Amino acid sequence: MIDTKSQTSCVLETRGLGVRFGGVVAVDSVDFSLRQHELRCLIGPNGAGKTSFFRCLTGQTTPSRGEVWLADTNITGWVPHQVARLGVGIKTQIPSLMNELTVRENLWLAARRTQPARQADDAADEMLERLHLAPLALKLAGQLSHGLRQRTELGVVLAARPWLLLLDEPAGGLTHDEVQQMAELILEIGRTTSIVVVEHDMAFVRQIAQQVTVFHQGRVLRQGAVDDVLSDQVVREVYLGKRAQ
Amino acid sequence: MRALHANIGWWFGFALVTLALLFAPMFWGSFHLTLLVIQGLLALSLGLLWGQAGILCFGQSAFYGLGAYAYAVAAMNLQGHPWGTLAAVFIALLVTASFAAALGAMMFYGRVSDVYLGVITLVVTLLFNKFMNAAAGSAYVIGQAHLGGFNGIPGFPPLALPLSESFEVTGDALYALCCVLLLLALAGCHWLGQTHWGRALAGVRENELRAQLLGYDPRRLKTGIFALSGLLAGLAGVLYACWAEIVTPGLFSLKQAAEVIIWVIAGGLGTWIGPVVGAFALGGLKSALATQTLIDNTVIMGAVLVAVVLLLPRGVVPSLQRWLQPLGSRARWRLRWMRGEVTANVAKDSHHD
Repeated sequence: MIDTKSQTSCVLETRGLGVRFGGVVAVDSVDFSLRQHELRCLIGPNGAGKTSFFRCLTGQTTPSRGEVWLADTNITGWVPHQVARLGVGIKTQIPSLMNELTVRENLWLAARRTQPARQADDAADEMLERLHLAPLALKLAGQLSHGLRQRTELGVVLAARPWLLLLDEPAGGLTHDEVQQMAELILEIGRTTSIVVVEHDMAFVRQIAQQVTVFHQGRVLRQGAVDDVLSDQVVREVYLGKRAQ
Repeated sequence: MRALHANIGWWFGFALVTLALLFAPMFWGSFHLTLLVIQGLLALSLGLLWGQAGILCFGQSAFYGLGAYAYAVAAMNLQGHPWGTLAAVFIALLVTASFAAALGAMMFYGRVSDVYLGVITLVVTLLFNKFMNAAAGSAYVIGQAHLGGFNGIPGFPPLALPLSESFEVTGDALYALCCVLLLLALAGCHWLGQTHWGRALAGVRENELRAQLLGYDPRRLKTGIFALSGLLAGLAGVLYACWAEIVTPGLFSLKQAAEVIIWVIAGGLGTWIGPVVGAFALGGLKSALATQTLIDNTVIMGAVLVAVVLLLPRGVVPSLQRWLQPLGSRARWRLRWMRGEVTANVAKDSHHD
């Protein structure tokens, strides 16, 4: 765990971050910063480099150049478990759970990594109640529907009590009601936690975001308040297509 | 509640194995039974690695043979010392666990996985086999122990306890020791599976990325279980050396490597009792077939494996568990109904569910 109350106001920062896959530049010199308790959405069309950028933050991809800083710690080139051990909760694009373990076991394993056994038991039970998963506690994670897997994975991420959340498409594949619930939950968590959300669903983004960063061709195209950015002519052209004008 | 029921099943199986070990000498000689118990321990070592961490290793016989050879070499060099053979056991376990840890670390930190891991462990086994077969002559001597090439190492002292008079652990005493160690290993594996470490390993087996994203280091966890599994296989090798009183390169053979995997598959992967049952059953069958010359034994063993895979793909013990589970739940409901905790209709409906 690292000290987030340090002198720097940024809890997450990238400096000139670049990712190259052979001849393809997926992320190109991205400077990005996130303040404490800020909720930032990363948006952009398919292939804009959001996920490659996200994977650099989580340690799943090693950047070709540039640096990633978590508060005062340079985590460039770190592997995912090292990043997670600093208190970062990571949710993947496709819900990633331990399929042959029960929902409660998934939550318990997440909680137990950061807490003693008894507290981990309480944390798992608390998360079951909070996310309305109690009736499914003994069900195998592999038997859950997509929506329930999304919710369970968020519970798994939260059970470890992270101070920074990196969420990749938390609303992907959810029904309208489930999207509402997810938005409320993220807003509630965002009061005490810094969050980065990669998302396609613009209605969802409008609901939760204070600030958005628009990616285009591996670069940051625009950055700012959600309404300002989404009404920007260039963003509308790039992200929504020229007809949207 | 589910965990409690699972534990009842486990204790039931554990009690059955204990009773079988206790009463088996009434029907069969302890000499052959000792070998079956040793094979059960070897199968359990692979069951631990494969069932708990999802790592299929073809090198279990390498650790088995290494344990046996290390004991033989150490015992010959410490001959005459009252604690000599006990020290040889610890040396053999240390050598095997260290070798397994080093090999595991090299593979897991080198990001070797799945089929490549199987290939590397098989190659290591065959390298040992090749080397030990070739290690004949005066150049291959460790202290007072000649490796002996194809003939192996005979004539090393058997395990002895430094009591008032030196007590050699052979015959029935060795059988009793092997049984106690097997039961301790079974209980230990069961306990380990319920600890944080054991659950984390299960998590890595199920989804390595998710485990990583939660902060678990799969490389460290896998290296740890690989070393522990190697230690168990090494212990089986030490016991084998004490039982056979000779160690040969055959311990590292491809046949031996394949047999362990067959025992685990037939007995049932993912259970602790399954590999032991598989080793007992197939090891016993092999011994029984050894007296006949009508059909080649390997053909019969192959046919048994094919039949098990086709008819009981999950293995014998998990299939038995599956069949017995409805009986168990019916009995529990009847008990609750007799106590008045549920009405007849509710019990019937719930049982139906």
